[in-house]
Amino acid sequence: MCDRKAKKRPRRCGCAAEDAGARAPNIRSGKGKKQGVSKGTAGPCENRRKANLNKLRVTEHQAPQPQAKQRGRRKAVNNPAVQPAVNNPAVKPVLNNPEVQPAANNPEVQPATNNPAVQPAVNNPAVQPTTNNPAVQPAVNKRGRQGATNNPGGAQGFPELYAHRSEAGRRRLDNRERTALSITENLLDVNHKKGRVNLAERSEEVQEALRWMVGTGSAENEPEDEVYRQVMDLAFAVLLGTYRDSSVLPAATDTLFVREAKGQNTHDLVWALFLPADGEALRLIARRLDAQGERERALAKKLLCQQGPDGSCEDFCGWLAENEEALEFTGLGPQFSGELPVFRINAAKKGAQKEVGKI
Amino acid sequence: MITIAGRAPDIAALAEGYPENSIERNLLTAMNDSGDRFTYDNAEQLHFELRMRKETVNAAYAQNRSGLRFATFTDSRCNPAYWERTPNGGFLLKEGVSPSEAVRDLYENGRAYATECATAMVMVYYMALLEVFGDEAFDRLFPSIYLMDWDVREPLLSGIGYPFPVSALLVGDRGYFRNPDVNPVTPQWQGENVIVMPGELFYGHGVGIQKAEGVIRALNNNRKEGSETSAYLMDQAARPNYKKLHAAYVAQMARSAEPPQTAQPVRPAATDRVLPVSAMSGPAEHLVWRDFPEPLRRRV
Repeated sequence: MCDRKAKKRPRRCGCAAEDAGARAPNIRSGKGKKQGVSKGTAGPCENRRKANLNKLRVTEHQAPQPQAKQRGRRKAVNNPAVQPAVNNPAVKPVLNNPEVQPAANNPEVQPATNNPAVQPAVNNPAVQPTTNNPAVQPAVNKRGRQGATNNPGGAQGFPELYAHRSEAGRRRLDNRERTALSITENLLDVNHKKGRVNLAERSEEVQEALRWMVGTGSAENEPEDEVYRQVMDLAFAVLLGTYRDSSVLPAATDTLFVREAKGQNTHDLVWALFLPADGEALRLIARRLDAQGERERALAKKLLCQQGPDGSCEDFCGWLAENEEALEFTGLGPQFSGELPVFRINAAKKGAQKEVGKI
Repeated sequence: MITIAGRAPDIAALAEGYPENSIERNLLTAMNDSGDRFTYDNAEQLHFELRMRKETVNAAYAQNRSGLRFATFTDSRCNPAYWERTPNGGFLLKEGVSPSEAVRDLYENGRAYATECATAMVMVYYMALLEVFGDEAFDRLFPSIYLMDWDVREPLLSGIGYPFPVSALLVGDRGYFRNPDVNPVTPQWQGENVIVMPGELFYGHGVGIQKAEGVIRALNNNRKEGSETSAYLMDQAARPNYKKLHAAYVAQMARSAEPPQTAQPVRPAATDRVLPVSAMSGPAEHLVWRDFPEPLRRRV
């Protein structure tokens, strides 16, 4: 009985209200509403999100990247076609320049993961720029995964694979990259027939490749290319719609708000975000209710506050915890209405729930 | 049911002002027989709405003939002489350009434009407004136009972005066919925005003018493999706020020393060109299948 109850407990959004063990505020009366959270400044949820993100960055920055190293070594040692790229002074600066690739390839910085003496280098702003410096941003993506280089033989993310897809025949690609290219070909074909993959059928290989595509190629990593963004939209739609893979919801939400901040197209992504009908999407969006950017806040409010409370992340998450059992997703998006009625509360379900509670 | 100043009007007398089988005359009957209430302060408001609905239908026919192509926002395009394509694929009226000329260009130069179904519906309503208000008043009233799905920033027209439940769809309404089991790789087929046309027809950008079954068939062809959940017409409609538009119309006419030709009193004159319903519902040239969708992506 207890186990069942525990399983049914709503998931945590990580906002201050939950961390403090605070009871969900009463939206109507305002009772329980946390003081000191105002619009226009980063609220507790946003601060928590940023703190978590920084922790993630540091952790991932420290983490070794065996795959990248392995691939680099294999190509350098065995592949004559790639050999010159490693030894060629023209290419070498990209691979060996400590300012660009310290974590993955540079032996001078590599020990930072294991050597206590060098460990502080990770937190040192002088070493950090690889993740935060826009000039170097393409080299290491946000999640610290194998970043982008312009080296066709080196470790790369999906944006680089996409950019060099016309040269794919001349490059050594692993299975995942080949699948990703086939998926891309299929998504960009008007009849969705091209490519060796069938996106209508579920396949672990395809799902893994799609995850890699959106994991390394979405949000801040999206290049300024509308067709590329369409590929991302469709990749998210397949993962969220066909595979019901809610694990990509954070990446989809990040992408949505990054694009919104830039005034880019979010039409299909808004629709895709709610395909798995998972309340987690609402929690992820709610974090933006406390965001500093006006456009971010406005979109979050538009997506959440038609049926939910008008307030902070804390308000919304408290409200959601009380109403999640009666939550229904409409499946409708911006193509249908300017109101974005993506979810609603089924009053009958809510009533039934209360009745059961009384018993 | 129609009420004017709180009373039920003589519908037969109101209908006499319109030719037999005209859109307005049929609308009067449909509205009066409807389970929804249509309340007006005066008869002019009602006549204005009838005129607007008729022009909406005419604008839909015109758009269907215009050569406007279907494209997702990624591949949308517009005539740069009048419109600026925004980073999200919408169209923003250029500064210093006449709004009436720009809207007319959407129709006269349709092949220069490509967009999806929601934006196309907004274009239809702007065209209808242009016909009713005339160039001069239109330019004064709508100096800034943004065309991007239902992000309708013009307060006088924002109602078309917000559907609500109705007991019956009326000619000139914006309706929506929903495709709940759409294939995720074809999000443009998640539904079809339509203008309700006379003769139980619907105009949707991309599917053309069709019976409901035709629109549903087109949507069903783009479902997930093996799906047995059919697309359907939702019992919701979106309408502009005709009363507000009428108030704006009256104000604009009062400002115009010499009202333009199209800004005649909304009550139909004997010479008013009205397409009979029978002429619209038959297998006329409007019932032409359009290429759909045109190749969305050519850059690979």
